[in-house]
Amino acid sequence: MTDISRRTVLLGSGTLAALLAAPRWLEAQENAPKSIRAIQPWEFKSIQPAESGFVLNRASIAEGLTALQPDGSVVPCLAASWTASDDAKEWRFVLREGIVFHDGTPVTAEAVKASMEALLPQARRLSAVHIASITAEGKEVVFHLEKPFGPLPAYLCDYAISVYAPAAFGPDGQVAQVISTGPFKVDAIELPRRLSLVRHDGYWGEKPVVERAEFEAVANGETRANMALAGDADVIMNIPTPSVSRIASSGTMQVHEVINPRVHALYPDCGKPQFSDVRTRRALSLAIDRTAIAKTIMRNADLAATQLFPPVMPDWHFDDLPRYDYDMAAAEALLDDAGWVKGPDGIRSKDGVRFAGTIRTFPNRPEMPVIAAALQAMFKTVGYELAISIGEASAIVEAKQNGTLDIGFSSRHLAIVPDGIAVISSEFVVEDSRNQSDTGATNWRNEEFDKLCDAYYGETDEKVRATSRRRLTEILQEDLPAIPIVWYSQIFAVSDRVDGFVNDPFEQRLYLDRLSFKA
Amino acid sequence: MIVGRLAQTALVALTLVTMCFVFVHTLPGDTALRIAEARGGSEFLNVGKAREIAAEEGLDRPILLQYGEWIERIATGDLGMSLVTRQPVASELWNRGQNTLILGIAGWLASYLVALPIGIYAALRPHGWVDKISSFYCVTMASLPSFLMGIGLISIFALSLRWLPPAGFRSWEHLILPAATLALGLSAFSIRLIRDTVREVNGAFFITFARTKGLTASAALRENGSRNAAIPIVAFAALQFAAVVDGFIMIETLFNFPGLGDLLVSSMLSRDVPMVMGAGLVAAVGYGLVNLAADLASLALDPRLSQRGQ
Repeated sequence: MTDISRRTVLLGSGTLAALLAAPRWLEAQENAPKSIRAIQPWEFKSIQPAESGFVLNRASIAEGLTALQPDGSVVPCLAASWTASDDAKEWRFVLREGIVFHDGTPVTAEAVKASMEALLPQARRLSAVHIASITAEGKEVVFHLEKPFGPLPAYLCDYAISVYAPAAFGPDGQVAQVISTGPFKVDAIELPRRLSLVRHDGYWGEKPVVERAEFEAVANGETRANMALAGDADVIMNIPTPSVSRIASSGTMQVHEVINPRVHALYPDCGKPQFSDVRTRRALSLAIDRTAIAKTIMRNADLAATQLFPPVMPDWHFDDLPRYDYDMAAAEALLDDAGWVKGPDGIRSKDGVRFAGTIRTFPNRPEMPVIAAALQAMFKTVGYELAISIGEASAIVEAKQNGTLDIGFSSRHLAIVPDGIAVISSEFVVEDSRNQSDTGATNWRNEEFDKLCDAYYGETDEKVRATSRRRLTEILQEDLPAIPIVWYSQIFAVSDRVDGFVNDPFEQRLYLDRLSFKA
Repeated sequence: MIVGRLAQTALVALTLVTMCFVFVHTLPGDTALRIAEARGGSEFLNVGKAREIAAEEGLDRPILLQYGEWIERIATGDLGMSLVTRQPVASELWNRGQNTLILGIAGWLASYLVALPIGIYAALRPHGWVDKISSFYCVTMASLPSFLMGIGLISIFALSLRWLPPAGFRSWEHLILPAATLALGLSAFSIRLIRDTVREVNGAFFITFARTKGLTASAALRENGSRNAAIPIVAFAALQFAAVVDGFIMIETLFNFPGLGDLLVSSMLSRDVPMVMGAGLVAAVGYGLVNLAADLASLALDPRLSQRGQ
């Protein structure tokens, strides 16, 4: 007979006990206090507001003096109200009463001033404001500007300039700990993927319903779709379109879709002989079947761009602007008229220059290489030979710098600052101190456009501003320094077990504080 | 032997990190722009910002100077700071490395929990049904890429049955699918090795001699054959453990598992040179140390090796 040692008996009993106890352990885990779990695609590489502030704001941790609402309006946030001098050079923001930071210290005008001064050097979009100084006067934070600046409240929604406590800053002036004022405060950070949040009981507004929340970055779209199918989170952002129907029919999560202030657009080098004549840019625009791209690749015909700004930005979107038609015959006629003659291979040329080039795009948004392939076929029909180069987004900037860019195909968020002037000035005004981006139009200049942008900043009369907005969008529509292809929709998967989801088209916040578990 | 092996490990590590350095720098594109994109995203990318980063991080200095400084720092045990997160490379490697180690050990142990009984049983009853089925299993698993295996496991256990989470690492449940993916792939090779080794040992003259003394087949193998069979298996297992580094990259990406493989991929994409070199160094040293441990285990199992000076 085989001997059974005491060790074997103990090991066997232990294994058996563990197996029997496992379901109870799992049950205990199931019954533990639940936290809301939100998934989004972007990793946060640091805690610096200029770099990863969008995550801190989206997770309801950080707030600014003003805030952008899901309906597009700019409202007071830490500031209860604001006033501007007649010349729009002095702005006074009155702080709310009784606000405290996450560490319990009061939000004073001095603290806000210190936070602003520490963050402004890195907040590139704010460099358009030309701030001479900031002063703290009682309960007021006062911005003294070198030049009139009408859209300041909209600019202060920028996540790069949210308000942080004095204790948040290290000796080098950088944010060392995330201590802000939002409805949630940070419990733990695991860069670059996970934020554990806990309710800020001293919050000045409506306090979060749930006590805890998890905010996680999952870069791979398929993985996010799998998590939705498995019901492994409560809110999941950026669901890939091919997975939408599967998720909707899975019964674990509801799908919510909303058009964002985002556009996928072509940026041709307007200095190249192929694109220096506006007729060639218009011809290529006419050769694009945007509806087909929106229907088949984006799976939403409403995303076919009719102009740069989508309807979600009503101040900058004009329904009566001439739309981008799809008209191959008109495209061919324009190119003939511009002197581009078709060769035996079907590709046009003029003065020995071939009507050809490379489109550079990136795969971070998986639909973009697919759209590039569709454009390749469409452009070939009218005689433009398009090669495709897929790389990093920075490769477009690099090509622009070294003069090798033909067409950049980029995706642009149009409302990081909710006033569209920020993005169009940055993207289309060349050689301007306000141009803080090297991702926009290449070798395009329109003096009327530049002057209108400049005047818009200093204008406080809404009627005049509205007229300027109209003219600015008309110029973009006529001159096509960028050729919009499709807008973009944000697709969320939201668990059936939660209530209170707010679909914010501006992606400023996920409103985790309003979510609750169904009874 | 130990000193020799450690010196060999150091040499391998130096060669590997040098290759990492060269490869990252020969990739097309502007490193500073990539770093700027990784830090702040692709919106509002600014060449001025990239130039600032290049100056701050010394990326505009001659390549050889950068390499020399890194080696000098390594000699003092300092792996430097990540160019993207600006956190110490060592602490990021430690945080991610722990997860990878847990995954690796779980997958590796699980593979041997499967492989040892099946391999031994198949060896003791060659051409029996267990041997035939295990042979089919090994061929199938060995030819199946790990990402397909992972997708299959996710489809069944996470999406259809909803027993296990499909991604992340927040609890032991999150470990099961990636560890199983690793284990199934590893066991395909180890089952055959164990089967062949045990069978060879089982047919050796000393086993026949033990049987003639009256021992049963299993007792003869246990008492006289297990040590002999263990020697090649230990060496192979160590090699396999080291080789799973390759598998980590695919598995960690597929399961969104926050480990070293995943860190290495994102660091390569963003040109985070200190992080890539740090990860390369850890992989090389880890590989060397695991092999050293295997050699020491082989010595313990077969003292004749030390007499031969091996």
